[in-house]
Amino acid sequence: MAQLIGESIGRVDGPAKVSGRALYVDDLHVPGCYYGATVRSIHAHALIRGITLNLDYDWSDVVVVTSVDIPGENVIALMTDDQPALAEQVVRHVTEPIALVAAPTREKALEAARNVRVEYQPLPALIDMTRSQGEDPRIFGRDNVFKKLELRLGDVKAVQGGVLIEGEYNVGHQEQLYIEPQGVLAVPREDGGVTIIGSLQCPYYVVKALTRVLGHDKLNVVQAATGGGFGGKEEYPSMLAAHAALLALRAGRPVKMVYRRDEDLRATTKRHPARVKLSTRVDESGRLLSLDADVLMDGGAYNTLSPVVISRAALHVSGPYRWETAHVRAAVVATHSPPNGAFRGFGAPQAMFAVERHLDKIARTLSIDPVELRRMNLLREGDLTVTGQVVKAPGGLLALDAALAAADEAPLPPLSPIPGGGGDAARRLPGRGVSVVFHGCGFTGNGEAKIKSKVILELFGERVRVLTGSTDIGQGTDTIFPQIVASILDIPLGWVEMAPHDTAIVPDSGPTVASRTAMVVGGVVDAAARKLHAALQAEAKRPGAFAELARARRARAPLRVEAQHQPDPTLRWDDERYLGDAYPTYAWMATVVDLAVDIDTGEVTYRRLITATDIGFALNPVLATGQIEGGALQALGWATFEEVVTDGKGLMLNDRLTNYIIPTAADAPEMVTLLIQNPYAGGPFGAKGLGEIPMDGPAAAVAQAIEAATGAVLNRLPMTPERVLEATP
Amino acid sequence: MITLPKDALSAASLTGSFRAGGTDLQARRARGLHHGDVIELRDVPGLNTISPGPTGGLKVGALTRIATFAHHADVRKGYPGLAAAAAGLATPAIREVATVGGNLTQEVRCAYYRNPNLVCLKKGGDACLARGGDHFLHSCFDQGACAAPHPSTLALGMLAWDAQVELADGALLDAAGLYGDGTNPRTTHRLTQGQLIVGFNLPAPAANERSAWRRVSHRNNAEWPIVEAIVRVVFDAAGQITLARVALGGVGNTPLRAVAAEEALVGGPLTEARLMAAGEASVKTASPLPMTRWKLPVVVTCVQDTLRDLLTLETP
Repeated sequence: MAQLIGESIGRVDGPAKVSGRALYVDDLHVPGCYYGATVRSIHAHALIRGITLNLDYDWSDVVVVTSVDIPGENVIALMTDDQPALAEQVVRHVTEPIALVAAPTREKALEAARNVRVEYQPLPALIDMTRSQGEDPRIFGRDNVFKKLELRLGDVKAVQGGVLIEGEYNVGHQEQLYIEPQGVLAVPREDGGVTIIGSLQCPYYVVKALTRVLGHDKLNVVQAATGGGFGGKEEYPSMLAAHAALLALRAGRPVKMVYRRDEDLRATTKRHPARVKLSTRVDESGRLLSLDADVLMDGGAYNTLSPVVISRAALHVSGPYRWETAHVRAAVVATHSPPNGAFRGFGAPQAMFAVERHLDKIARTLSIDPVELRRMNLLREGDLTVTGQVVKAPGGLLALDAALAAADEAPLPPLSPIPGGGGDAARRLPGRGVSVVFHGCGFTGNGEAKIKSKVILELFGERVRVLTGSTDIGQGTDTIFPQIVASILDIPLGWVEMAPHDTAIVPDSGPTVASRTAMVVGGVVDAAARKLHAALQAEAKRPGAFAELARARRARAPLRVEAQHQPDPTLRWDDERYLGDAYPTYAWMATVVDLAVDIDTGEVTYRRLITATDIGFALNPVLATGQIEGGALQALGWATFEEVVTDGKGLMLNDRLTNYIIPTAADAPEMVTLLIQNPYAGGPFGAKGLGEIPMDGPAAAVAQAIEAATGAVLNRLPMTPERVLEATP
Repeated sequence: MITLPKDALSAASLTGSFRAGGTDLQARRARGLHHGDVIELRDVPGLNTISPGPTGGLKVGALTRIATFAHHADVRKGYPGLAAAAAGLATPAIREVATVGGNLTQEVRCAYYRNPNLVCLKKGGDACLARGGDHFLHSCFDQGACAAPHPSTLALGMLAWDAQVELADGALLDAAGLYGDGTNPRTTHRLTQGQLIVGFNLPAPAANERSAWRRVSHRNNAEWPIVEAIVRVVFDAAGQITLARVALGGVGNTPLRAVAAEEALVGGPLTEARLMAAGEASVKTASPLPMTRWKLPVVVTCVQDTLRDLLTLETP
């Protein structure tokens, strides 16, 4: 077999991206294209009394769309049908779309949008998630709860011994901050349908949503080169595509909608804020006896994907530890805030920040070394998770030992100077923090069995084409899928090409989310490649190497095979009681962060970030490392920089990169990224998912490091200088 | 409409807003915070040079790029604190585009002001929205109705060296003339239509002076200050401080001098005890808002650190 898999071959999309040839949505120029803009609510909750046009304005070349112009249903179909494409009688959050305009230039469109007058009757708004459940005004259902769930392992109340340790942990919003804002181009088709070309993760989500909005399925969705997603382009593109499609069909011409950064920050989804209360009992040696967890999340005004986010939070709030008993209650509630949605980690980072900080509290209370406390309680082979899943080949200890060994091995890099700042060395106190996390790979429970992901391979001439709805959003799908195919078929990489991610030609491979693309869809690619080889041999009626057989049939019609994901039949999941095999497998990661805290200014300087991650098998080590390092840096931003400041109506105030700050390249510490090979039989070549786990652990490790340096106990993110100073004893 | 005047006097005679590097104006226009005509200064000659002043010192053209200013040998030699401040503000990309004149006259960074949907005092409203909202990062020297801290770093240099801006009509304004006392919440500077800054005049440094800059911020790089300071100290032959300037940014609606800190420095050598006392004195006249009291110890530390840097510098 060609030694392609496991090698760090260059990204196939790299040359086009670094040379500027890759075409993002805003690079696509279509003759006669109009530009769209959105009229948005300025109230968190109000009745719409009327929508009128300023008659003094020149509307001759402007197209306007409101909810009455929607040919199909006014709904963005996702999990429930609660979110309209355009508000009709009520607005339920600031920035909610009310009307759309399109004009020959972007400037004219923005100007026209300002000349659409909306008359409101403001209503009382509910912004505080802790006062939502069962309270008025009602936003969703009977009790404002999008999803509530409970899981039990044993009887927590029966455990009365040991030491009772309680804590509360709070995290705020986080913006995905893909470098390319949301953007879609809608082009009317001759058959009355529409083609959507967009910056997006999940083309088939858009198909599903648009079919309902347009009232027909004469549509196809094409992924353009996409400048990052991180979950932010999972569900939101359905909304934007619906808007662009409505305008394009109304105008009878292509319409492009690309958000500016400030609009993107104000109007699109973010990570769910969360409050996690933990009440635990541990024995004096530090053994974890019982976990009683109460997780509350703010879903915002519409359901989006919140039920699945809260589910993942509930399933990860135990951390990668063995609890003898557990009782987890989790709820995501509605508020009149812009909806929150998918973001790398999907509920797990919030939950694991809480449990990791809580382990630090246990260690502090019992005077046990926090690393030893973790080591003692990490899940081991045959242990039960809180859903009763039997743990197989856990990687927590492997990761922890590897990260600690690396931390002890090499001397710390010198403390980097801060331009114009940084106290003297005596005042910049060093701190080290350690965290261990796990992350369920793929969809929860029966999810993968329901999705039935498909992949098609086509052999034409000596080329193999991979047709999949899984998109490359920067993580490298378009590189590793050909790597898998070429390796299985023992052919040069140059023989394999990816078909455009166009729903007119590719099958539904499930969404590009949930750390599932390499592991689950990659597995289907693997199976499809084997199936193609078998089909070729059957056609030739003889065994033979793929390359040789392919050459021999060069002139014949293309050979096409389809493969579908086959879930592990041994997995059992009870979706009612949340019991059983929550995930087919888990990735595991240990983080060791070294930083310095200026005790007089509260400024934190990162020195080194060591991660050791059990990802099963690295299909492409450089791409895997890039995913982990990028995700870890995103986590450091969440830890100390990123704070969404809102006004009393839920409107994001710091909606620019000048005041919503993320780490710059200069702020990135030295990174030591260790990939632990611990193959998972259900993934291609043993690979597990790795997209999300780097987001889970660093924030808690940073909090522990700040505590080690200063004594400041911080249980709230972000840990800004003012909070560090306030908490420093 | 955009006009492109060919000289400073004709630029000053036009109606509209001056555009130099555009790093602030364009951002505000894109958000709908600024409307109207633009007077593009691109073609105005002679405003991007740094030359010796008539009585020593430097005449810095208003269109000089921040990066050019920061790395100019005479600036670094004579005004090291100001050169460091220029080299450390914003990002490398912005420093290559933004100008000295633009830095001095940019608008506040307050999120309430920058939000196009909100009408604060600076946009003709009747209340400072930050005062009733989130003002953790706002002023701790409460000068007037607007709580936003002044955004200019180079303005601290005006205070530290008694520098002046020169207008197209030849008029000269010091910091007080350019910024006022912070009581007018409607404007970030006092220039009126037609008043175009053409130069930034730095007096000659004293024979035996030292200067330094420091900034405390939320991110180690490329971030606005929580607090920043430029300090300048002049020594006599015996090593006694004869003049001190402590200029503070990020703390008030105008750049501010910490006069009590300066008084604590003058009259003796720069010692650890003296600089500690000066730091403590720097917040003597502070009047923090409900959420900005936390900044006071940071101001103290920042001033002490910046003064301490002077101890490690060689006597010029």
